[in-house]
Amino acid sequence: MTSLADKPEIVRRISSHIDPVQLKKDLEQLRDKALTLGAADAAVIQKDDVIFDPELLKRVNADGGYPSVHWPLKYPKDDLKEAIRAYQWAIFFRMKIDGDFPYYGGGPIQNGEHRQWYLKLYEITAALESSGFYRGYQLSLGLASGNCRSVFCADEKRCWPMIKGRACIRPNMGRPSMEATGIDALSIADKLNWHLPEGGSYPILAGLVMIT
Amino acid sequence: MDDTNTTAIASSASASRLDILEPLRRAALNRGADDAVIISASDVIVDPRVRFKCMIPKCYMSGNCAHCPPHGYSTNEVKDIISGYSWGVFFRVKVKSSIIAAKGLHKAIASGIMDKKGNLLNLGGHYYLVFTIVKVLEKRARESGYTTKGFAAGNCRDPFCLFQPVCQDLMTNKGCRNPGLSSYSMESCGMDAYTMAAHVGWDQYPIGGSCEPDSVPQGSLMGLVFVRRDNK
Repeated sequence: MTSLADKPEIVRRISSHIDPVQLKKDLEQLRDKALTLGAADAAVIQKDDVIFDPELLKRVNADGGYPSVHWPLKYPKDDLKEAIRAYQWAIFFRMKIDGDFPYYGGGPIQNGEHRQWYLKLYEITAALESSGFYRGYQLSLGLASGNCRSVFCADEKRCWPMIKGRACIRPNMGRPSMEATGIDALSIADKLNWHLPEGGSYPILAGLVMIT
Repeated sequence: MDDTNTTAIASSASASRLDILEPLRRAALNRGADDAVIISASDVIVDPRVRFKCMIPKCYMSGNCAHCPPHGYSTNEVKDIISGYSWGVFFRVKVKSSIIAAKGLHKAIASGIMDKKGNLLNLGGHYYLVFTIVKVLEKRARESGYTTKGFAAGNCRDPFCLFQPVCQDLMTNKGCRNPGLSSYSMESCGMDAYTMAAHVGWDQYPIGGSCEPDSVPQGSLMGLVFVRRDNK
């Protein structure tokens, strides 16, 4: 497993214009990197492949029992959907989970093994985001699944940056999930004809790293 | 300061609409900028994604400083501000890769504890310089009767309030401790300084916590000062 502390393999000068040939190569390499790091499926997707579901967003917004700065999302001055819509290309990937993997929503993840799956998902998301950044796509931005508080701060009494003037204790790792932004990972996976485990209410554990 | 590698992208005929621009550009160079150009306000790139780079994943300063996201200007507010100007001076201060990409620097930044080699202090000095140039340019423009608005780089809390427990502007109603020194950064306001640097021909590299000195030739910190002449 590569770590964010590893020296980047490529650091490319920021270009005033994106070379489409280079971009295609980079996207394919990032997709392959997701698979190498442990994703079960990974695909290069375009802006129009990103599907939003307002019902999903409503569900997340109503799920405030274990709140964090990233669940439900509150950006009073900024429009995350507008920002997401500004990306043209992304890497979408999923972890291999069993059919009985429950939908945790934003709540605590009691099962240690399941929590490890989430942790790995966040690590892959961060690794792809970092790699995209160093390749010269400086706005690369990754979204994971669930509530980062459940993954990183289960032992904390609260999500600290929810208090004005307090910082995140896991900077560079804690991040929003796709569902918290209203992105429907399940529908994206369906569109890609991925074979998902049967039986679960939301049988996908996925990440989305928007590159440029 | 040698400015032979500096490109003034605005035509002299256009720039002469504001006599102050070229003196300000030279002042930036004289005060320590390595490059400075006059740019049209229409060349400033405001992108909603930039502020989110401060918040996803969260930068250690996000939420801790009144000038950093999620606080500060929204991109729409910034667009409104920029729409009031036609010209600005865009400059950069280069930072040696041995400083900005020093091993262990990222940890020192996040903890606020000085590293033994003094790279954090040295980098802070470069940020301080960017803020200083912004304020010098603003002052000169104001003294010449211009309205001005400047943007620096990074957060202002580290260079000016490192030894203070909180950002006073954010946490109290007393306002900023250093209003004459601090300012918003370009990136905190959604300006894509990296791409703007590339557009004017400056070599700019993405530098993160895992970079090492041999990863990049150098780093750059950018600043931007808008000026306009109000008719009275």
